[in-house]
Amino acid sequence: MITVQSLLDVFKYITPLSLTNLFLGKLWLENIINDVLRKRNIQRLITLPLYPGLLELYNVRYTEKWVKKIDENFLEYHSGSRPLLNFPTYPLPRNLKYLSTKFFSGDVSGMIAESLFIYLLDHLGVNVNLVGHLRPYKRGRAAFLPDFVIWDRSLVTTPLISTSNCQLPIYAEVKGSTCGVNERQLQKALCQLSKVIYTSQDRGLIFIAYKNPNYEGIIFEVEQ
Amino acid sequence: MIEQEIVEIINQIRDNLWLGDIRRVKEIVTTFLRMKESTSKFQKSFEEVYHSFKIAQKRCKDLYKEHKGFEYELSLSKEFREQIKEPSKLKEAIAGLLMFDLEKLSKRLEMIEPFCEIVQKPSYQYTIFEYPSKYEIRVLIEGRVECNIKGLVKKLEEKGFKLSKINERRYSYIAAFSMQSYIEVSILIPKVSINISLLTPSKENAQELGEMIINSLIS
Repeated sequence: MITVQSLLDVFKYITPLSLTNLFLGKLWLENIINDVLRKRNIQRLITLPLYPGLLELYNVRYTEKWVKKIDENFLEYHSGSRPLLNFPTYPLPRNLKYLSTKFFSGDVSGMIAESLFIYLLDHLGVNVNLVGHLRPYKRGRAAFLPDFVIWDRSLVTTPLISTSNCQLPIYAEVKGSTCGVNERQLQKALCQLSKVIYTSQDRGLIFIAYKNPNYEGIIFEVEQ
Repeated sequence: MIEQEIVEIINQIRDNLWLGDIRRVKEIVTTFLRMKESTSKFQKSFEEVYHSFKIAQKRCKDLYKEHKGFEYELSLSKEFREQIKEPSKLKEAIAGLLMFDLEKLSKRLEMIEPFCEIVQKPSYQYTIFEYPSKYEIRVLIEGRVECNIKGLVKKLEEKGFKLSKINERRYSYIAAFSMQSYIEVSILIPKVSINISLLTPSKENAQELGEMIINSLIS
């Protein structure tokens, strides 16, 4: 039997975030982030076991690019091991730097976060065939859309959503980071969701995968 | 509901692109676009919402020149919300955007010839990618199938493999090795990914092993 080495703790911020508070500014966001970092007003939702080969199968369907062997990337990112690139022996052109100072790619950490989010939904019993990934279209004419759109009603019965009185679809924004969680990520995600959440029945989710010191996930429920 | 249906279709297309089945992707796209006479309504909604977004961007640039970063994003959201008179249009706009994308994909596919051989079996299809002495077999299983992990494990053990396995509710992973080969199987229905390394490279042997694995899995 293979022993599972990696586990991902996913927490939920207990109070749904109201978009009307967005205009309170940075202080409101800083308080939320402080709560998360001090484990206040959050509950442990689930601990996800991470198996070899699993993230790649989610990555194929639900992320913008297919990162081969993303599971191995995840393990490196998770443990924080930083493989160094070799320095070429010849001199550099003026004003250029070697890429060897770049250890982790934001692209890859974003894809790890998106794969983890879908894994979380699948694990909670949501029909992932009814989850649409809109991230690739955001670069073009659809910059107003969130990363994911969820059309499965059963999401409402999961602990991710605190009310049954909400309408489909549910929108989701996903952020990934190889450092900690911060208010900038939350800010951006809330601004994005505020473009699609209009009524008291609309709901959104924000999932942030961050390192503390290993990967953790936090879910915020968002309402009007 | 068409908004739901199109999301399912897109996911089905992504699975088939992973498999490399261009013919099937063309078929799915063409059938969907032919069946849907109301595509223009959704595409129109997308154009309307996109237009509102452009207006909001322009107004934001004119009115809040000094705003940067968070303040700019906030003002843009505010302006955009004011432009959207019927929030239900947003749902339609998402469907419209995906339809535009399907149309574009359909045109692009006209120029692409099927590039790999898809092996069709009664309840699954697969592609084999060769990197001798390694072989990657991508399998797409049709319909609702219960996976018989125990049956597969038994079969591999009968064939002399030593193995390690993980068998969870939705996902299974098996690593099997013998004196001649090393195999990794990842199963997340409808996708099964099989990576085979052979001491003596042979596509036929890899294919035989791959079929044996799938047949035991869905028997």
